[in-house]
Amino acid sequence: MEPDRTPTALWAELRWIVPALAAILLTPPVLGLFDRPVSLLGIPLLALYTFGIWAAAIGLCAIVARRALPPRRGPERHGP
Amino acid sequence: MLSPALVLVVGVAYLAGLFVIAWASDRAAERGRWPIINSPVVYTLSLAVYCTAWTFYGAVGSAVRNGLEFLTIYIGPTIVFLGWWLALRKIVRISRSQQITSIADFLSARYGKSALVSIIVTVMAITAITPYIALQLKGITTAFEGLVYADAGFTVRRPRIGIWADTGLWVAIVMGVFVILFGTRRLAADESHPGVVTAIAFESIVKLAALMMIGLFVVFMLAPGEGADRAPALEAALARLATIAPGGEARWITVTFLSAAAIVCLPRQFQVMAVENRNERHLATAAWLFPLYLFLISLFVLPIAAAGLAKLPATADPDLFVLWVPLAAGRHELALIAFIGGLSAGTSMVIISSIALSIMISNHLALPLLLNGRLGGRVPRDLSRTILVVRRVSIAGILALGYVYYRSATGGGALASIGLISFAGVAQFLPALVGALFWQAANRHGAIAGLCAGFAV
Repeated sequence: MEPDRTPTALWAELRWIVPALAAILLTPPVLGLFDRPVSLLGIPLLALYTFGIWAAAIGLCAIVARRALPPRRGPERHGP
Repeated sequence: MLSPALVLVVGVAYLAGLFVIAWASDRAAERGRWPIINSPVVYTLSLAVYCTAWTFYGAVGSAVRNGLEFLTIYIGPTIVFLGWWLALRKIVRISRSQQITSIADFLSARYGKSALVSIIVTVMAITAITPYIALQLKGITTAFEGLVYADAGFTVRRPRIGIWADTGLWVAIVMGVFVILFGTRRLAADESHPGVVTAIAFESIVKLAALMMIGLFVVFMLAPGEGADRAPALEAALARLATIAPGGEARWITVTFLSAAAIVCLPRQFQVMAVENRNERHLATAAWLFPLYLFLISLFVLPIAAAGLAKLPATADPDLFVLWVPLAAGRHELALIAFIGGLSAGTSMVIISSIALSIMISNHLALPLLLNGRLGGRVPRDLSRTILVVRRVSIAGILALGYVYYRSATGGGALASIGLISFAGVAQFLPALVGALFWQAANRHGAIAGLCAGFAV
């Protein structure tokens, strides 16, 4: 069967991807890559990176959460 | 530096305002006219009780000591909330449908209504939360002394004072009165407290606004006005702070994990997240709005820490930079705002924690004893009155215990390390909680064994 490529399925996958990516990108092995004495506009790279990823995750989650909640009430059922 | 009378008057006025807000919203909710309580924003702000005096003063102190590591306390919960539909939604749904009243009740209900599980969880929670309450009292007292008794070199010269002049004692007493007034006014089957939740949401706005005001002041008003050599000094301090301390990688992962556990397992978080939840859909908003709150409250920690390092003497206690940076710049009104922010952060934690613990004590320790007739064999006729009395006594007891701990452990110990003890304490609930949520075959013997093992360690 063709995998479901409708927008809904994509959003459903994003709910997994956002927290998983946030967990990976905001912990040491990856974080250590950005721990360098470089700064942009006076802001150190590591701080810029951490807060940037954090903000992006929040923004994506806001979009996903809105899609995950259909305007109707009642128990959530995903898919057709 | 500031007169004690001024700080006291402002502090008392703030707490009085809190009483008015709680009272007014309780009244409005009873008449069914309190739409604000049904807003996802208020729900999110009440979740922000997570940020205590430990956050308000301790985050800057922790940044000075360990660099960027202070962020782990906020990244852990952020990840949990980003994945809200995985665990949180299930917890909230189960709690609402089964009228769960506390994390002890939740765990025991998931393990066949085992009374033993709920008793163990209650005792563990009291043990873990007492130092945390003591930490709030210590935070507020230290801030008061730092504001009033600091000399020009930012050393606190504390006069010898008797117990009756101890700020911590008065804060504990006022909090006790507040919680008893608004936390035990009536007995609702769902254990909800609209007045308290509204007051907590208000406190969350106050502490975020206060910290952001100090932060904006540091970023936009402090650096340029201090001559050409100040800005590079600030940048150098900032660059030194924004690193992971050597060997801090393992600690980074551990603390992220502990705080991710704490956002679910702390009795006060369970109270506001699951017990006080009005609508499951609020969680979908909180999923991004609560991480946003954490993001904003940690945004200015590094600049404040850098400004403190650049402008304050090296001997100054970094846990008080939030107060002292504005004070050193001669902005006394900002220092006072910082004090109010810390006060709001500390009091909100004390309020919700003592309510959550008193519910656990009355439902799982006192009531079973009363109903089994082991306390003299008399079952009182009006049970709800008895429950309220038990709650009031246990609230007073919890605060007294916190105060005693604060008095006896008042020496050293940075704010952050005391808080982490509590986080590690409640993280012991996590294995049982995960088992309860996802593992059908989990049984109560395993849960009890696990809890006891964790407690013993």
